[in-house]
Amino acid sequence: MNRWYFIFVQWFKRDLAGRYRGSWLGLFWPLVQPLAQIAVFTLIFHGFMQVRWPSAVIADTGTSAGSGGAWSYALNVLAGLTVFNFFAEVLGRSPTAVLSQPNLVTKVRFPLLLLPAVTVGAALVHVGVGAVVLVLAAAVAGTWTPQIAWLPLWLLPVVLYGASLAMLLASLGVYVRDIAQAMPAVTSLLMFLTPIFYPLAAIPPNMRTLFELNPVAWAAESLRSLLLDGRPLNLTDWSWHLAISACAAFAAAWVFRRLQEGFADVL
Amino acid sequence: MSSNALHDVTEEPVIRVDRAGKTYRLYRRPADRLWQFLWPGPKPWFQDFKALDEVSFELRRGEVMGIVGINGAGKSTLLQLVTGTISPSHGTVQTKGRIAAILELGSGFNPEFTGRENVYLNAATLGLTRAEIDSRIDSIIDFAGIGLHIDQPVKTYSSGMLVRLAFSIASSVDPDVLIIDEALSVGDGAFRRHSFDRIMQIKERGTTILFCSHVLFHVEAFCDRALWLHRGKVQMIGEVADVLRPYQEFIDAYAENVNALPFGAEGGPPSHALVAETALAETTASVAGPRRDARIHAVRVRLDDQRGTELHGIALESELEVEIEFVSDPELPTPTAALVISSESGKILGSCMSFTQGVVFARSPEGTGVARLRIEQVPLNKGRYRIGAYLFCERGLHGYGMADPVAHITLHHVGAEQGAYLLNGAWDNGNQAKDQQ
Repeated sequence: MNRWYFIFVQWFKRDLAGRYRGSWLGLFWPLVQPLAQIAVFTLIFHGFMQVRWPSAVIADTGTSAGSGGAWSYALNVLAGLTVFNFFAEVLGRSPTAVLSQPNLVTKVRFPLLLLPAVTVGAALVHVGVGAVVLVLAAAVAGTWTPQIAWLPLWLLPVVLYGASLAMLLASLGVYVRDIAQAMPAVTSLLMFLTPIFYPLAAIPPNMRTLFELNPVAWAAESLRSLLLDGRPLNLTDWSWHLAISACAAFAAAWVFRRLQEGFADVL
Repeated sequence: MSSNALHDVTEEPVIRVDRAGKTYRLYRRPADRLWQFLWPGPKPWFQDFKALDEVSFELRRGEVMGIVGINGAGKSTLLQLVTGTISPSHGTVQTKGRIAAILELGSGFNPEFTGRENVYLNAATLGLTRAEIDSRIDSIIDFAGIGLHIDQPVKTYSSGMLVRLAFSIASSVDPDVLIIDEALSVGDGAFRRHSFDRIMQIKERGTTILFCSHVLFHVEAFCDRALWLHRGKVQMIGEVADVLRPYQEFIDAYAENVNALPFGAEGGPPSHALVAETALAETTASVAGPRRDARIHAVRVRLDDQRGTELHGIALESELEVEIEFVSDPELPTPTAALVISSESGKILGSCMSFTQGVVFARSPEGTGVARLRIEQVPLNKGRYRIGAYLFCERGLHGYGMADPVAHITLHHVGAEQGAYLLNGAWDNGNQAKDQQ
């Protein structure tokens, strides 16, 4: 176990360094990218198209922005993007996680399950950066909330969902290379079908249940209610998602192990 | 090559391959494999292909087995089965302990990482723990000869440095089973020799080695036993010499030029008709001996009283003399030399090694010397032949350099004898001989 952890850390470092080392901003990129997105979203949707966020706590306490302010909109988008960028990265990079390392498959005995795990780990960096910024921004705005203590619990199903996707896509991607090509389209669809730059409440009630089935939507909405609205985690919903994501992860791990036997034959 | 003492240490085999086979399903497209997995209907999505069939052998600690066979014979499949990256379709493959492979050197290096970080990444991938790497990293860096560059990103390394670092890591894993696939000719001359010694050490330490190479004299020198694979089946298995002799005959008959050069593509000077000419002029300007390496400096070929690169003589009469002038690092043991005569198509007809005769050439303090070989009556039949000069390490294993062809000789003969050689026999009257008795 300890040995696996050591290999994981080595490959995790390789993954991050491979992308950010040598660039000027280095590890600030996970911070810069969402900030730029937020600025554009806030300008377009809040500024030009007048999308407003029904704000609870911020309005009640009457601090800084007030209901529907640009500041509140930006924070809500940040929470959404934090979740979305995590899943987008998993979707985008998992299909090639195994495919791009043929030597690890055919030449050495290597715990291949670590490869999608590394992808999830690297994507979690987005969640970490986003959460820190959210908490800091909330503190600056004077809406610091002790509900932040729920974060580790909230994270559990999110990571499990991400890991299920990663294992499934990484193993299928070896056989069906189209998956890697299809992912950019899927992620951009996901961006619009998930309440990221609009609130879930904006969906017509008859469609809302459908949207609520989307685990990414649940993750985004519950993160907002935790950090921005200062509400505790809804443990009923959370338990459901934990159970579903755990089952999904087991199923995905099973599929990965099944398909793994054929990796060396294809690569 | 007797390592019998080691065999007794443990009776249990380290590798046991029992009637193992691998049948590949040939799919027209990668996606068909997925369909087969999802809908295994009556009509299969594949065709069967037997890459390996009914292979059995056992290797104990310290045993070294060479695997030979032409391309597509199933060598890689067998190595993958033993490594454990693929599982056998029939039979069983059992191994004990840590398995490491020296192949695909440097796979997984991250160009942005420093050399040191890559050592950790690569060694962890090959199965070393943090503590093991910590204790070995100095010797890994030292062996690779990277020096202070070790803390620079490897994208700044030359390809030679990369290969050296990768080999150094792979050979430091200290496994129970080592798999070597054509990895002996890496780096420049000095490092090749170095890595050769390293593998000899690993062998002497009692590691079980599977060795796969097209260079038959490497197989012969390293291995106790040999396995000849042909079309996925064991053609022959046994003592190395017993297997290699018929295999060599098979390759010769196989017409295909599988005679891989012992020095790899980049080893040795390229084409060498020139060496004989140019060398004479610059003998005095002899350069300082190369570090940890040796090379052929000039070759002079004489047939009777002619010198040059295109010589004519008479079969079984002419005298051939070859002088190989070499430069070597004086700190290394004296190199050995070999002469190879081959047909114009490149098939080796005969050779003569100074190592076999136990001759040690005298060297100047700078490490220069001249190896001379004289063949008094060249026993070849009429025809045109290639003369090649080779310089080897003191064990006659590692090739420092070669000049082949360095010259061509054309022999004339009046008789209608067949075959490459003329037998140096004498006919006489049998009746008379009997009467005298």
